[in-house]
Amino acid sequence: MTMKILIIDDEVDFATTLSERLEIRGYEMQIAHSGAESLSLIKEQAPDIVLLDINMPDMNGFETLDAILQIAPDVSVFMLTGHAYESHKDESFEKGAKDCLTKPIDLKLLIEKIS
Amino acid sequence: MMKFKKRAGRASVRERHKELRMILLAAITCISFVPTTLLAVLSFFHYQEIITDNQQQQLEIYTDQIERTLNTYYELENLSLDDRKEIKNYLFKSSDQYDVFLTDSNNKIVTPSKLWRSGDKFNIVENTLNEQLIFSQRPITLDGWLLIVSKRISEKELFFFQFELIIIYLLCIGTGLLLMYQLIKVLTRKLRESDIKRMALFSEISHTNRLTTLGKLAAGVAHEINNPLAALHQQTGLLHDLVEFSDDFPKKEKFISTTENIQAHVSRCQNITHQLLLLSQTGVDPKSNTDINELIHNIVYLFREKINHKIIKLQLQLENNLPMVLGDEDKIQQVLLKVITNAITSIDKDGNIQIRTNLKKNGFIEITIQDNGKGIEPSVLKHIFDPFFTTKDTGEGTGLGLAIAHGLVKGMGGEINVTNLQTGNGALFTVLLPSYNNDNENINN
Repeated sequence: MTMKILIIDDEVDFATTLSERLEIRGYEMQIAHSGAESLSLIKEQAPDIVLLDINMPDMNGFETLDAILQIAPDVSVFMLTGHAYESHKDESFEKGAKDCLTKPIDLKLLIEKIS
Repeated sequence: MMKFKKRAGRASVRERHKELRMILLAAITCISFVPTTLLAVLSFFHYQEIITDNQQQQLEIYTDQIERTLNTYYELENLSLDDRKEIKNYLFKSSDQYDVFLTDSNNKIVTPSKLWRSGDKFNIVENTLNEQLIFSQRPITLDGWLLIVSKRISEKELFFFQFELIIIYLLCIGTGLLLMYQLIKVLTRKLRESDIKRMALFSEISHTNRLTTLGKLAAGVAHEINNPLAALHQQTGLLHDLVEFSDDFPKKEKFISTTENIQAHVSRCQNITHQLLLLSQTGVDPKSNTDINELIHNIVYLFREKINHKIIKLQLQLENNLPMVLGDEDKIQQVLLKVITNAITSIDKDGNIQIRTNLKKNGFIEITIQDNGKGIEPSVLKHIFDPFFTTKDTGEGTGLGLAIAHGLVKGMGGEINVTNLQTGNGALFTVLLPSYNNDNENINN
């Protein structure tokens, strides 16, 4: 069974490109450009994995994470951040994310983590 | 370090001695000026007393009165011309040196009844009206008598008095000038010192401003370039994947390695832009706090291999019970990593690095990193915190390490400085960071 991945990022180019690259590798991809948009997708599609950007307008990554885990507690969430702050990593783990990856994303590392 | 401190101490003591000597000299000049001036003023009045025209006139009036009194006396006594001449001779011979005049207790000129020729110091002669006349060869004062005899000043004495006065005036002017000279010297030195301090402050401020502007510029450029670079990185990645997952075609491997190469270069650019963004980071989370001593222990652990490899001795002198430092641990770690890396690089082998922490009176925590390397050349010292300034060969270093350290420390409200120890004795980096206190949370909550 193919693995369903949802990318939540307000940067359209980044999300699209990452989605395409993962699609080539055989994953089933979904994209949401805001936290609010992602919640309905999660209900409908029930993805296995969520890649969630921390730095987003309106509803930031951590707020979205809280909301996602309330709807779907079993989903594996990986946080994505543009800054290599230890505090981001710590908060991600505290809030229940599986890991926190720094952009630019090392695709090999990402695949290793989600497999 | 001890040697350095001692020398600095000696220099400041010498400076202090010099200052004290100046003050003492000025004080002595001041003190000597007072009696000299007083003496001059007194002698001036003394001189005035002797030569006043008023007194001279008075004496002449008295002399005239005496002469008239004498004439009356001659007629009364019916004295011979010889006697008269003798008396007059006596009186006015003496008047070469002394003026003789008569007074009573009411300060009136009186008529003498008889004149005596005598070798006594002075004679008092009563006349028929019970009035008295006194003769003397020197000034005397008797009860009920006013000035009796006054000495008339000679040419010689006049010259002496004038000479004395000139000398005293010259002395006064001399001491005055000396005093002025000393005062001006002290004042100009003080002015020069404050000028030097002000100049140093100005240059420090302008240097800091320049660094801040440079940092903002660099961070601004980095911010603008960052997004296109990210897109470039992603698109190249996609291109790489498309090629890799497509069917074989001529030179497919070459395509793949080329896209990988592009990605590697873009990654390098991104690495630089990420560092540049740190240059203008300001503001500090009031809740963030760091145990600086623990952090230093962790950092030293990170460096253990490098240190062992170069056989560098690392000494820690960390003050116990330090308060927490206000600031993000990651940022402080970056600052210390960069400064310590710089210290290690400046030492060849068998070096010594000392890291100290202590609490300053102003509530800041001071972290000093001292090495015994080559020290920093003055031309380098001026630009050490400038972005992209490096002494390493092209490609070896970006010249951002210490610039970022500077930007991060400033952003946390701290200070970072570097000084050279005695030539060849290494460099001393000082990082000052505000300490964390619980009030910070209370204020913000």
